[in-house]
Amino acid sequence: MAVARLLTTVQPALSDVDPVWAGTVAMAAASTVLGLFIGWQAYRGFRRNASRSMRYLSVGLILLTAVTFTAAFVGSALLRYGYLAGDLRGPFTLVVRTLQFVGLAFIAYSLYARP
Amino acid sequence: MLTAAARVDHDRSRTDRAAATGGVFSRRESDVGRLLLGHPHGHGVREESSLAEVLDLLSDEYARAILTETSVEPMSAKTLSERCDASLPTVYRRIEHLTDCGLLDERTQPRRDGNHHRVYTATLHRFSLELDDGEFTADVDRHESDDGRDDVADRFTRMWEGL
Repeated sequence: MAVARLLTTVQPALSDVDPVWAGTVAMAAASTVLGLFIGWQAYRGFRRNASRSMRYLSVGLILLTAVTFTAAFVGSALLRYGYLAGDLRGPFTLVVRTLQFVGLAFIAYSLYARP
Repeated sequence: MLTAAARVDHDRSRTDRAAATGGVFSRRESDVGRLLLGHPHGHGVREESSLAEVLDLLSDEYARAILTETSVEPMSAKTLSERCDASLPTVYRRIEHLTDCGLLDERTQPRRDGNHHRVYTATLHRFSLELDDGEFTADVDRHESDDGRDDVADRFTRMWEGL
C-alpha cells in the first residue's frame, strides 16, 4: 500500500529526473552490487574453508555496502516524499552511520579472528 | 602391472637401465621405480613419489576402497571407515599415504553445529604403466578436482588470512 503510493508519487517525477541525482543513484547501486559480490565471495570463502575471519569479513562487507546503501536509499526516499517527518533526518543519518561503523568493526575484527 | 614391477625388482641387471618417467615432469633416474607424478596442470612439483609407493597403495584393498568411495563424493574419515568396513586408524593411515602420493585431496567443511570436519576427494583419474625398450613409463592423470584450490573464494580466504 505504502509502496504503491510511493510509486505513484515517483512516476510523474521521472520526466524531470535530475541527471546528477540519477548518476549518483546509479553509481551507488553499482557499488552495492560490487560490494555484494565481494561479500558473497568472502562468504563462499567462509563456507568452503570454514574460515572464521572470512565470515566476519563477509558480514562486514555486506553491512557496509548493501545494508547501508539500501537503508540510506529507502530512508532518503521516504524523507524526500514526506513519508517520514523531516526532523527524523538527523536520527536517520545516525542509524546509517552506525551501520557503517558496525560493518567496518566487523572487517577490523576479521583481521584478528583466527581461522 | 604388478607382476611387471615385481620382475624388475628381481632382475637387478636390468634395473640400472630401467627408469620410470612421468608426464610433464619426466626425468630419468638410475634407481628403478622412481617417478615424478606429473600433474597435467602444473601443480606436480610437490608430488614426488616412488612408483613402488603408488603400486603398493593400489594393491591395498582399503586404499582402493577409499579411492572408489571418494571418487563419487567427498567423504569424512568416519564415513569412510563405515563404508570400507575398516577401523578408523586404518583409514587414517591409508588417507595419509594416498594424500602423500597426491591421489587424494583433503578439504575442511563447516558443519551445522559450528564445528568443521575434513573430507576427502579422490584426485586419481587414471594410472598407466608402460614398458618399452628397457624403460617403465608411469603416468598419473588427475582430475581437475584440484579445481577448488584455484577458486577465487579460496584465494581471497588465503589472502585475507595471510594479512
